[in-house]
Amino acid sequence: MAGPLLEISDLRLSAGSGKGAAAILRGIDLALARGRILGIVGESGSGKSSLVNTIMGLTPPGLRAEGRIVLAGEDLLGLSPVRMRALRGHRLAMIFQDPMTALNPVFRIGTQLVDVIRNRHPGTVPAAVEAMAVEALGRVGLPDPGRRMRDYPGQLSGGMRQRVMIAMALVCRPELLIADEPTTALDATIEAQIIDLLRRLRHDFQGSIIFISHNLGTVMQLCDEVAVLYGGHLVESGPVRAVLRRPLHPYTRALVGCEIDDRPVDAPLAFIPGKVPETTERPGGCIFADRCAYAAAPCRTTAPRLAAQGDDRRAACLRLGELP
Amino acid sequence: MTASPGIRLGALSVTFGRAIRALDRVTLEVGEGETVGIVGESGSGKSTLCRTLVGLTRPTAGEVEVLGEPVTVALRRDPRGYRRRIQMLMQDAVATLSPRMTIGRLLAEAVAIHGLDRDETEERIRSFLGRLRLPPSILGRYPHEISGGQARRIGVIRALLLRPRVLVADEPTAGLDVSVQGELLNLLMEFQRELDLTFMIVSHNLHVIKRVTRRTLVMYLGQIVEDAPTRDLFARPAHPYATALISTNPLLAAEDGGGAIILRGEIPSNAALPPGCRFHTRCPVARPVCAETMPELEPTAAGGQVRCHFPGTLARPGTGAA
Repeated sequence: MAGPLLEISDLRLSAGSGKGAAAILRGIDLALARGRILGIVGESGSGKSSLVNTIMGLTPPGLRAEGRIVLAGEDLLGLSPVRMRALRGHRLAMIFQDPMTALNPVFRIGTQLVDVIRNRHPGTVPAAVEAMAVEALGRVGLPDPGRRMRDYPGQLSGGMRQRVMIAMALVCRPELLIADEPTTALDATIEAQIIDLLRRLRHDFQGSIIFISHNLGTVMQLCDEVAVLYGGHLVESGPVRAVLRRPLHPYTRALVGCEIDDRPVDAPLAFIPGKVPETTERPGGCIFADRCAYAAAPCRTTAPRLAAQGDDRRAACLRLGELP
Repeated sequence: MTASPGIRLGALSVTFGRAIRALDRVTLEVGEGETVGIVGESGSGKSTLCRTLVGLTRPTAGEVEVLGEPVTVALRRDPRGYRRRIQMLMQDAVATLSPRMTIGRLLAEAVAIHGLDRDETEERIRSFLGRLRLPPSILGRYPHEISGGQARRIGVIRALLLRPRVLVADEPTAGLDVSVQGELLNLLMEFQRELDLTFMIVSHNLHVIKRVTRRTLVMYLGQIVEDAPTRDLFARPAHPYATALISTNPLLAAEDGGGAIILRGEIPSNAALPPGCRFHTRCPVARPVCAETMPELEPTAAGGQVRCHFPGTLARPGTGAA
């Protein structure tokens, strides 16, 4: 198919006005092709969750979203709430860090899964719906799925609940699946199971995935591409291996540098001094200048634009050409 | 082992209610000034072990000695003195700071309770703030007005003001961005060296343990399954659980990042422990004996200990060795 599945241009998310106005997303440009997995990384407060919540149309009241979010030719920001609700569960699906916030504790997981299927595939006979639900649970590796249908969410472990969420998202056959830190709350060996499951599922799932994580190692294992957010800006994007192995932007370099390496016990660990900018700050220049090891005078007055670096990479930094 | 142990556990068991066995006959000796890491998943007993050391959880059976004295005796004889000698950094640093007090009062409270010299402490608080790169104005703030990273550094100051000799840190970097976790760990390591602290650090992040400790305990369902010098453990894990855990945490720089050993199934409940080796239900190299007989902790050639009938038999992906 021609063109990307998702194309975001100059997306801004803001609140309030005048002096106390907050800018949460400050002009994001991003495209995602069909069938690809995009990782989104960045510190807390960089705008990762705000970005995907805006795509899903889940922005809280009081926030203004401007710009364009085009999903297969349709601008999501222009849609009515009714139309947007119809898209969620059809063309868009999302899994969250804590599945308990998305599952209703007082309904059996079978009931909840059947509801989703009936909504997505209306007119299917009940026996077929039931069979689809059991099959979906089996596909995500839930042991004894027929019996598990009768369990309540509270009877399942965190890893099992996340599998149920993935099953629910996949029965929707979405074009875009968004996963917001889906393994953060899980134990290491269970996290490995879920990442392995997502990797295997991508073969029979035709859609694209946006995967938010603070774990660069996981992003490297699972994703094709990566976008690095900082202070509501997209500062770098490109193929995952290229970006994380040879980062261009000073922020990506610093972030990758903080990953713990193989050096001996006595060597100090790296960190990024300072803190992420507040949403109420309005820097005249580069958003990262205050914490950047390479910042020069122009960085404080001129905001860099996201510019192509070779075929498939982009970075927003005035000094790219001069960096060591 | 060392002549004067900082921490000594003798067959320590902790059972909650009748059924939940959080710790099961854990025996351990940590030398004074040693830095030891603990890794393991939910239900492994890491946090219970920490809480038992500081006296927040009572042992059901067995002995706990800190700095040569049983904890129960020390707590009866001189509870404040004991709590000065051993301090704990809790996982949720913000929750340990009362929301109704300013940071300055929170620190002063610790000083007042323990009857420390006020002027001298004031001086030390100032110097700590400088070293931890916190502005003096933070003393006038309330806990909700500071960041998670700052709350943790305040926690470190409050613990170290009392000049402890043992520091227990339960997941000190959980929930922190990687951009700030390095700074906190550097400070903890500096203070450990400077004050010659006996330091126990719990983390689910194996990279952290690898970088800041010299000895690591791997726990599973209330037992130590491997106890080894950190370098050896990461280079040649002997227990299949340790091997799998390490394989799920490749370094970003590792060429083969996709070689995780995927364990089947879930961690069993502490209330319904499997017979025999507790790990056999998920172990890729389990044999019939593993379901019947619980292995004991046995010394390894590398100078560690491992609780496995067939140590070293689980091949790590990418090494080709079996």
